[in-house]
Amino acid sequence: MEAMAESKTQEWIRVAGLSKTEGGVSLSDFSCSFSKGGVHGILGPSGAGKSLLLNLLSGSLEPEGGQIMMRGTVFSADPAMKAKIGYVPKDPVFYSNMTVLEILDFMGQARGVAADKRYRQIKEAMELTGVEEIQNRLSARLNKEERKRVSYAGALLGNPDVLYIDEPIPVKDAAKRGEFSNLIAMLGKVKTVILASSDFSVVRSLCEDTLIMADGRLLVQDRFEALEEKLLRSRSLRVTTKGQKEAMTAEIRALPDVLDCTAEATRGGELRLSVEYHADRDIRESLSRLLGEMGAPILSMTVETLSLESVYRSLTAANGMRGSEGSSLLPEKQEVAE
Amino acid sequence: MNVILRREWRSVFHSLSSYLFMGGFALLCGIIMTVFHFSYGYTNFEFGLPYYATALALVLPILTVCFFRPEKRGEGIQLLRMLPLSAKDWILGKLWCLVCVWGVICGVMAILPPILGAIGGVEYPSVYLGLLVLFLFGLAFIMIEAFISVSLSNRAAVWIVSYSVPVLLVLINNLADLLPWMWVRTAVEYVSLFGAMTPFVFSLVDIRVPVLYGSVAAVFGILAYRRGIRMIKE
Repeated sequence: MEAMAESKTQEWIRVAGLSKTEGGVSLSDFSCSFSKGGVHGILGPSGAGKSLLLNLLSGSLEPEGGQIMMRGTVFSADPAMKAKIGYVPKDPVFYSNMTVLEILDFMGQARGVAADKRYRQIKEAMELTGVEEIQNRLSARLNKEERKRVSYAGALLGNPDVLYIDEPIPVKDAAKRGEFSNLIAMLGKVKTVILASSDFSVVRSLCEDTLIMADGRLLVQDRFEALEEKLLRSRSLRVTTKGQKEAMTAEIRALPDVLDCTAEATRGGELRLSVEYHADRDIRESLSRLLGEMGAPILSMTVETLSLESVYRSLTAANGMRGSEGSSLLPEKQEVAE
Repeated sequence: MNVILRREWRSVFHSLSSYLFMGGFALLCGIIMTVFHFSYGYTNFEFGLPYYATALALVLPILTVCFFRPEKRGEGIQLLRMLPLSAKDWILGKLWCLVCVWGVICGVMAILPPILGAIGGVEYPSVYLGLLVLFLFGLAFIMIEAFISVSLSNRAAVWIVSYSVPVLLVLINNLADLLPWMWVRTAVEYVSLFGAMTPFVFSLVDIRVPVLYGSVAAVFGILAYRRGIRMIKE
């Protein structure tokens, strides 16, 4: 059991100093690592470089600098190396004149699966991904979701160790999202799955850990539990007041239990303060007293519990990027005092 | 490469352009056979070599113009990224498929001399040597057309250039004759793809001809390969 636990936590894929510029997106000196097994997430807004990173990890693109180590061996775009990984692109496109079955057969051949094993593997992959009913349909007549299912099936042929999935769930329908989630969770039990998405809820629900990136840079990489634990240590207080920005923030920062304070002046002459403090303390009273001493009226005061998603949004927004799309969690408002 | 070759080979027998190419070539060969061999009574297959070459030049663009279209639309490229295949395998597989198609057609044409033998005397060695030269001519021509097809992104431009090249190659000797410089005419005579096969039409063996066709096929094959790799990487 100990050996199993050890192998589970061992570094399976290591990215060191990766650099690449492609289509206006660039990664510069990017380093990260993924452990063996389970589902790992890469989270970031559109244009953050997630697809570029997956393309590099899967050997679809060659890096301009740095290297990828897979199980201690330098990974290259060599076909023998690429056979060990499965890649599901964001929006798969196949030869329009081929049926699903022909595409899978072609993919099986390209992955070097012997004819006798190939048909069994194709059948199993079709069952797993739910493409049996469309196996004789031409690729040109497949919708986005069906194409994604076919690419999942194709990526499983040859039994690769690692699966890279770009935007794993292509639908909004809850039932179908559930099907994709179940499939990924099942795959995560037997393979190392690395998925990239801009949808926080997808990554949160499927992955054990996440790598958050924006503007081609790694912002944070940790297990969700660890990230949330860090967040639970602090709370945020939003205060609208009037007064001098610099002096006020300096005074507030000097208060006991305050972790940080930022201020933003509005056009109406108001000042919006964001004060972070230890979650197990209450600074409202001391803050009100301080503002009163400074002659600053409290126009509104709101306590917010930070959620991981709100942090993800603020992190990515701070990097000049668009936030996650379609997510449901928002900072939870607890108390309002005016 | 074999995987791509098999896919392309299968695709050849599932596309309208391939059937038009094969049907068109069979029709033109039938007309040449009927008029030239059966009506005029020429049983020497090699006498018809320039006509078969012209027939190929007329129908080959039908096959080659659309041959790289899926890759230009990103269809094959996406698969290439998903699969353990290299761009090199991909392009070589496609070019090799074109060669195989032409090889099979020449193989089918190899049954014509015995048919002609039934109506008169046939010198089989010179006939099959002529057929080999026709195969090499086709190879050179296929690589030229493949290079045009892979190089130009605009479909109309590919059609225009693909048909302009054979017209130019047919007329090049006549155009050179209009020029006052003798050395130009001699040079054109040496490199003219259509004119070069003349010795074989008269059952004469000229080693320069296969060398010329082989060289042209190699040069344009390499160019098509390099351009194809660039197209995939772009």
